[in-house]
Amino acid sequence: MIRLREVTKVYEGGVVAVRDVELDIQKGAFVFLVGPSGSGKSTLIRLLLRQDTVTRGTIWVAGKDITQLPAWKVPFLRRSVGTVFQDFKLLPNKTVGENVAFALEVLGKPRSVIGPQVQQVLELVGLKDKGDRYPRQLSGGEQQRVSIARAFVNRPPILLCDEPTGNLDPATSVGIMRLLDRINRSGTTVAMATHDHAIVDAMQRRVVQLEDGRIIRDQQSGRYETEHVVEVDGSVAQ
Amino acid sequence: MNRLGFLAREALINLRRNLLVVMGAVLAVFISLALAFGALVVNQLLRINTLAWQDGVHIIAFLHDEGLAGIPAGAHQALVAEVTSWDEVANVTYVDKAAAWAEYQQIFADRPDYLNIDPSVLPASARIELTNIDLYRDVQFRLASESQLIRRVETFGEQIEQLSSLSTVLNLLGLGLALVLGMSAVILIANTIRMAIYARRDEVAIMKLVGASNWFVRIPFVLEGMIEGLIGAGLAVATVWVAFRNLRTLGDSIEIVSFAVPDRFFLTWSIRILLFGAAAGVLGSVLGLSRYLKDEDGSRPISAGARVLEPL
Ligand SMILES: Nc1ncnc2c1ncn2[C@@H]1O[C@H](COP(=O)(O)OP(=O)(O)O)[C@@H](O)[C@H]1O
Ligand SMILES: [Mg+2]
Repeated sequence: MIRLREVTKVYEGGVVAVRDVELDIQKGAFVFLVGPSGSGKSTLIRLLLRQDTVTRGTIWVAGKDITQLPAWKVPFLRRSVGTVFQDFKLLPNKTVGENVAFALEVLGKPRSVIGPQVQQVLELVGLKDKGDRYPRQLSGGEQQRVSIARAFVNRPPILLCDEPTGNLDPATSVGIMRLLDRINRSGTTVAMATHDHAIVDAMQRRVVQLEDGRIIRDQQSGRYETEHVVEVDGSVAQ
Repeated sequence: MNRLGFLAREALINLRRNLLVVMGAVLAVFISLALAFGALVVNQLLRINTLAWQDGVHIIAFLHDEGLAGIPAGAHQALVAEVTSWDEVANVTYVDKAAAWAEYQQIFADRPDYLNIDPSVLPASARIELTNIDLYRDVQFRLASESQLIRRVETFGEQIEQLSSLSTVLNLLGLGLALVLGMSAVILIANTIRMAIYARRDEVAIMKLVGASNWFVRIPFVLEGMIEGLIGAGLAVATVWVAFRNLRTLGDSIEIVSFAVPDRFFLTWSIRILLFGAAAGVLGSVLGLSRYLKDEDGSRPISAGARVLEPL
């Protein structure tokens, strides 16, 4: 579903955010991208969305080389990739229902399709009675559910999450992870950047660990930390 | 349908949000187009009035009486027939001595002392209307060759020429001003569009994130500029229309000058001005969007502040 080869991203100013990354994510997989802040997780997600372009290397999404994608086709890539962020990115002047509907409106879907589809996805995320509320009237966990609903309402085959639980307390985070797990079990490929140890350890899914833009570990059913010792300076001894 | 409604709604939200700046832009469009339209109408009025000036008579040739030395009976009619056949001449009216006397009596009806003259001193005349006023010198010259028949040639050509050069100057001035103001109007519209993009950066970012096509993101902004241009142009048309409507009623009482611009002229130019306003609006929005129109996906790295204005 997702394949990266020799992917390197150097920002203007010379920061190498991602170096020679090789990664394969199968259809229907659930992958954690872990690593300390600044290790390149967000950059990787931005590259997958073509919010940024690679400096070197190739990225395939659903069989297409997105590094060669002409700009006018980028919207089509994004329609097949749902996104969830730490800060929810909800529009404060729209209701929950309108926020979710917005994702379909901008694709030009007819109103007759939008209404039922929004209702259905709000039910899925457990907010079916809160469609008329405004984001400020919801808890952080509920707001994140809205943003997941918006990302998923179009049923994209891939869901990319950048620290979706970063602003949430542990109990709320568990609820969000259950939701993402359910979405994954329905066949959606999910990649999630996080540095939340508890979540990664609890989920027992594939873990890809980044450090200074490099993949230093790729483990099926892994934990956040390796069984190896973490040295005092934070680097991981092999 | 839904798509169109959505786009129009977005554009209207933008307009409301930046009311003050939008008003500035609309005002600039209004003033520049009102000036341009006003100049066009004034020009048209001058044309109409100079053509109609002196009841449309541009040259009067006063003739020696028939029956005098070397002038046979029928010479006047022959001359009228010949002059009528000239290409530069649209129409010739022959005023014989009796008609000249009648006219004289009418003009000086309130000055009985003037009427104490011998009617036979008043000459017959040929009153010539030209197809094109600029040709008056040619016609004057050709008439001169008939000198044994013609006593004196009077022409209003010089006055008409002065009037038309005045109208040219006025026009150039009006159109020049309109052009400069029009350019500033376009720039102001571009500015409102930039502000609208900034005000809606979150929405735009989300639209792009969920895969809205580029034109879908841009169209509300283009529509917004177009609406601004159209409102300005509409105001200009309405103002010029009302102004000249009032002048026309005024003109009816003055009588010397006609303010009656043909409705057809008004209508065609109103439509053109509206189209022009819309075009200026679209141009402004495209200009406002241009920095964000580049289809490059912003691998520019930049501060958080600049990131906000990712290319549309
Ligand atoms: N737009 C940018 N311009 C320059 N450097 C950036 C930019 N975005 C991220 N970086 C740098 O790239 C590195 C990786 O950042 P990021 O991908 O955000 O890491 P993470 O998400 O793992 O915290 C960091 O050193 C960061 O400072
Ligand atoms: Mg990050």
